[in-house]
Amino acid sequence: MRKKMIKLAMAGMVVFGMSSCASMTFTPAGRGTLYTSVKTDGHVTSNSCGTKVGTATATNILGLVLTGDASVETAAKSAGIKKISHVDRENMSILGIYGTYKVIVYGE
Amino acid sequence: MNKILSILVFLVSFTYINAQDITKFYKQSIHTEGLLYFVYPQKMSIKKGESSNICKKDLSYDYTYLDSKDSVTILMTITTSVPYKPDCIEITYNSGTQKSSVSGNTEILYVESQKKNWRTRVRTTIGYSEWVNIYKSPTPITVSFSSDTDKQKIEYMDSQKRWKKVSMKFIRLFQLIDYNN
Repeated sequence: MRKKMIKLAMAGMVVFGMSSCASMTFTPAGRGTLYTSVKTDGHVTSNSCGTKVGTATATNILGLVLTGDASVETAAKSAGIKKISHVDRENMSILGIYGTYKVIVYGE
Repeated sequence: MNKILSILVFLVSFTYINAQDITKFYKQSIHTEGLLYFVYPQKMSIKKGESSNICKKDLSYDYTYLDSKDSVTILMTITTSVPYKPDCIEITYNSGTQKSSVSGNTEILYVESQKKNWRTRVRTTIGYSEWVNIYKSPTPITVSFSSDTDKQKIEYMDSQKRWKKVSMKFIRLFQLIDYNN
């Protein structure tokens, strides 16, 4: 029983410790230790609301490998957007093992 | 130890339990001209055959639809081993008793180099009713690109299993669009 409790505590510490590994960034709502899936605000311009939408994503694996391009420029380019109206962001993280950061750009 | 692993697997799979959950599949925004729907980028496998000679990655595609307009914008990324500029796209689907297709010209947004490959971003538009009919197909659709310059046709097609999952999500999305009209 004691060994099982120790193993459980160690597993909990590993999960807690790794929860920051694949976290892309803090969100205004904080960061979930086990699971994060949050959509947050980005930037707003004075341009009129467009009908084009573009996305760009960066990925984090265990905090060891970070790849991708989550820039506003890449997201706008992917949809042929020349005038940006506003930008949103999405964070996702599972147990600190895998995380993504997505930028969504709206415009014309 | 097995119990701990089981709990961890359960926690991870919990996020994927509901296959009909499309909240992470699309985005709905209020626009001055109505409601704007955006389907996040999806993947479609390379069809076995000649296409696998030059296609290096799955087709990536996303949809944008404004409910006050009839047209749906499709943006796609093609990754090939050589530069490829498609002129025309054709989507072939099963409309119940026969094969149907939707075709249109493609607009090249840009071509860029990615490591050893080439990535082409293209745009085309189809009608809303055609979009709905495509995803009613019981069998996987085929997306074909043809190029007069490169004289090569490339094709993409999902497996039946993946198609079933994807089409169910689209059918649910269309229900949502109908209820909002």
